[in-house]
Amino acid sequence: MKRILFIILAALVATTAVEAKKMSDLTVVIDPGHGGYDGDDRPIHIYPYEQNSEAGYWESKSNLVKGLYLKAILDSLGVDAHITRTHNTYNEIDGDGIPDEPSLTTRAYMANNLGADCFFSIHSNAGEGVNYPLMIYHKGGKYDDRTGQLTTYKPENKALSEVVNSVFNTSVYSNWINYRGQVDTVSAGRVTADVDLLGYSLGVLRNLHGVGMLSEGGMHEHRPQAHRLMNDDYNWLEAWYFAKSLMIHFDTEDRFVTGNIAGVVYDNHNLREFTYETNYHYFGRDAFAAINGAKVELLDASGNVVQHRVTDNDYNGVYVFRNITPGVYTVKVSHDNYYTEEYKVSVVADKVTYKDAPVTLKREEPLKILSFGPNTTEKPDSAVSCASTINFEFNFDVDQEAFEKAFSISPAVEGYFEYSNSYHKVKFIPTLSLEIGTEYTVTVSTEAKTTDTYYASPNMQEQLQFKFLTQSRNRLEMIDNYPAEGGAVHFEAPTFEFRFDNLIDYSNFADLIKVYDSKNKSLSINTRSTKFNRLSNGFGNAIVVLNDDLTIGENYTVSISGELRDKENLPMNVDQKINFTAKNEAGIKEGEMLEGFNVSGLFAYDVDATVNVASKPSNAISSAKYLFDKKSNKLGYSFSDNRNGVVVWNYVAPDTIARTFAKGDKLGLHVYGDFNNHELWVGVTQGTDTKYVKLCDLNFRGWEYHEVVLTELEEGYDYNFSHIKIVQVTSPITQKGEIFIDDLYVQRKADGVEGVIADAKNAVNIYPVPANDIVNVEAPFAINAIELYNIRGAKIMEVNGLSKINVEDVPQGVYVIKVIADDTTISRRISISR
Amino acid sequence: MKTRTFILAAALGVCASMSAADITAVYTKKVDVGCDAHHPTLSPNGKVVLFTSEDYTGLKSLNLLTNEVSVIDETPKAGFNPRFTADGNEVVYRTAIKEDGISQNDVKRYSFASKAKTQLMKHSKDMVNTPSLVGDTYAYAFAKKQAMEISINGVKKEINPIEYGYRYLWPSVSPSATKLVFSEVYSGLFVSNVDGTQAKNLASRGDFPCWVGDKFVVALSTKDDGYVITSAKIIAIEVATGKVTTLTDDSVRVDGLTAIADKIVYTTEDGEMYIMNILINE
Repeated sequence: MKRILFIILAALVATTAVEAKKMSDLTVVIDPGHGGYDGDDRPIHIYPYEQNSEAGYWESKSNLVKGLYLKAILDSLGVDAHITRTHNTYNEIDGDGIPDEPSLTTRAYMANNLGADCFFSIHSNAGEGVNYPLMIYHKGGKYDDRTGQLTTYKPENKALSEVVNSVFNTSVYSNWINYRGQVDTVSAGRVTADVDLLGYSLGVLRNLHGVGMLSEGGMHEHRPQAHRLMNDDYNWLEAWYFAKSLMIHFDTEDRFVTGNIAGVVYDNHNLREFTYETNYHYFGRDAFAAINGAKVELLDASGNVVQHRVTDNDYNGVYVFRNITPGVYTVKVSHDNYYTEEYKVSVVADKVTYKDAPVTLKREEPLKILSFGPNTTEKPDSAVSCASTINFEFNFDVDQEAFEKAFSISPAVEGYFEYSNSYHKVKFIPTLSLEIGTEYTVTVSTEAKTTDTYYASPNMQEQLQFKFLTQSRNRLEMIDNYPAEGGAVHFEAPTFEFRFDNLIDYSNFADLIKVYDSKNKSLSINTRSTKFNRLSNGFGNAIVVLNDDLTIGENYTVSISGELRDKENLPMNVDQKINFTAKNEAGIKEGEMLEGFNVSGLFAYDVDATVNVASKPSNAISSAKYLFDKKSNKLGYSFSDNRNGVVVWNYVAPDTIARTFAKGDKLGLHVYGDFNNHELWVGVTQGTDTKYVKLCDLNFRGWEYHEVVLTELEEGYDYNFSHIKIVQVTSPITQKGEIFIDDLYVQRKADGVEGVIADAKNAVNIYPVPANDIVNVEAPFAINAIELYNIRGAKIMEVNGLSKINVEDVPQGVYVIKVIADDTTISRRISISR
Repeated sequence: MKTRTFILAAALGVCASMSAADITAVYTKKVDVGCDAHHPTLSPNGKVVLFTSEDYTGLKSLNLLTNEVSVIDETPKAGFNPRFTADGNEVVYRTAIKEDGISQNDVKRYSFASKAKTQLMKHSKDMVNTPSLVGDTYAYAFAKKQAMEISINGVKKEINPIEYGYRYLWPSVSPSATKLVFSEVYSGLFVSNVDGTQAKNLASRGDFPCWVGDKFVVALSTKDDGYVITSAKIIAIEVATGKVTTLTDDSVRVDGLTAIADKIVYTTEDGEMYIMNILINE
């Protein structure tokens, strides 16, 4: 322990009749909290130490250093000072898991046994991202429900903690390590707390007879504070404040007749990340790189060195000159890599003069741009993503203000600058996507420079200029969605699917999608069941499941924010809102139920009729998805290419029950669609005559009930249900899928089925897909008009009285085509591609 | 430190060949004293328990035969470490006052028979050696700042039994006046010859140790997280073998205890008092 020198005022009233109170009248027990290096000794991982290395930060260690310094200071003041522990080791003697540090009971008992006037437990606090002092005391005066009396009231404990807090707060934390620093000058304020209000009983305070408190100091989880707590001088200073607090609280005649100078040596521009990697964000002075190995000298008026320090290697930059005779001094800071600085400082008795020392790094070279982007030098014809940022890396930390004046981009782009690696890197981030197919020119003039104000030529020597061309795509498109606008969704286990022209960045998808009912009440989304997939041609989707069932007949809206971005960081830009209604597809059906699909072995794929598949089509009973009887049949397929695929399953039920249909009967089937847009057909057979009829397009996800009138059957014959067929639609988004089928119905013609098209929507055929120039519409009704809308809902074309529309002048992309008739309007998404 | 561990292990190894005795709790009874009770002290004859509040304010007595509770003193610190006379008829204790913020203690003597209090020493900064005042000339031990004072048949001696002993607490001479049990704040619970020689570590922690006969020591074993006590139970240690028996489990948060030959009185953090009768099988 270094020798502590103090000059204390002599007893001023020695000649008076009443003896004045002196520090030497006091008995003080100092309690460095915790002890040793185990789980409750609160290590904090700081650079450059390994996690839990004894050489790194432990609260038990800094508590002890502060405690030992406090004892030394009090000893020098003549205080009868005692300390509850003197070292910080772990020694498990008898294998019972109890470390060899004094028990909490022992610590308090020791103070009681010594008749201590003050018990002072020293700790530091946890708390990431904040830093303020906290003093805990036991005020007493609590109602005792056993006796109906109040427990002993100890206002002196609160008074002591308030004095200590006041000294800390005004001298250290506000001015030196105010965690919000220059960003926000609001101090955390004085914080003291009655242990009774904290809801737990501190072991060292509960049995204490005399005055006592527990100092939580600052927050060691605030990493810069943990670095400071590694510093001897910093811990000494905290001890000095404790000693000063005792002088004030006990109103002794003693006061320090010397003062102290304290500060931090730090780089005036480079941040902590310049010296070591850190993911924490710091404010004010704590954000800057503390400098190790800086020589700090204290010079008197004659230029003589009174004291000197070298900042330690623990990245705190702290220096303290202790016990200085009041007067005016010069603090001189030097370091091989920094310019020498000198500061005039006045020392006042009984106070700490703070003099932080921001110093300038010697760059002594002009600023250079080491790399930039987008850099298409090697591939001058290549185009870059419209989501690109403009990036630079420098040889030194760049002067932000000068760089932002030196930077220009043409055509002009709105954006902002983001610096990293302690200003060694900068990005210009456009607020919106760059324009498609545009050549940009970026210029950085020689105004750009380093912050080395001592160096004569900090500016860049030559202007940098480069060009790049953007790609033809500049935003994420939603190309398909279920439900469709105005559609209906089965109310149970509602599932939605949204398809995009690229993989989406789903990191914040849960925040960007909302589902509301008609009263604007938000529905809960099952984020664990929400899936994101890469589809076969590079497109992406999101399958969203709600936690709760919908209310049948209720209207809902699902909205996706335009802030959604793809993996290239291109935004969707436009909010999507889709209105839909909840329906019940499992309701009572007219007619006769013919097949429940509740057993296995009902299907076998037709080897001859199945073409262009990647693997053998599957069929199996399923209990995962069903509408009735807790079972359905699952039919899986995988086409080998993007066109001309057909999968046929033969219905091979082993029983002999007739499932017959006659001409004019209506066939109904419950289908769980996979939203792959292929066509679903059913086949019925009489003898060797098989008739296929299209039941629906698989343009939905979830359960729907589809019906079709069998008009093409031979009159007078009964046809048996015999096949399920999926016909591949050219260029679907994915070639692989599975559907589920449940209860098959027949409604006899005699029961009222008329020979009309039952499903007008499915009877409309729009082709080709994708379209190039002419889009044809076939419909079993008269078409009044065809309208074309872009993805944001703006009408861009309209033809009247025709069954085709020419889109050759329409840019490629995804559009909505509306077919308008007297009684109905059919909307379909189409893709235009060339 | 490894050497100490080895010595302990060796001692236990030797003791393993000895015939071990068992100690068991045979009956535990909760005692309602009408208020919170902490820090109990049993009289030598086991008939009276002194107790106080959590912070040692006030001193009360409980007559275990009549269940009568009497207030001896209500002043601060009166309950800290009171000392019975050998016949149990009187008790010596301190009370504390603050003189201009500085703590001072006096020493008083209280007679159970007359209920009279006499101030033996005026208030001062000194923490007076109360055992020396009770007239117990047979044997006592007293913890001083960095040593212990023992007195056997009036012969006083200052001892420091641990090579690196820092602070001693709770020294207690065995009934036969041959052994001494004490706690050292760092290294825990020790037993030694009464003159301090041949100190042996019994446990890394042991607060409020008391003799139960000459063969067993009971003490409070605690664990903590640096702020709050997370476990506090009474253990009994056979001195000869080092065998540890746990007498209370973690469900009881003991905060103080006192014992004589067949009885342990303990209090809990909640201010409840219990009497535990114990049985030792040789």
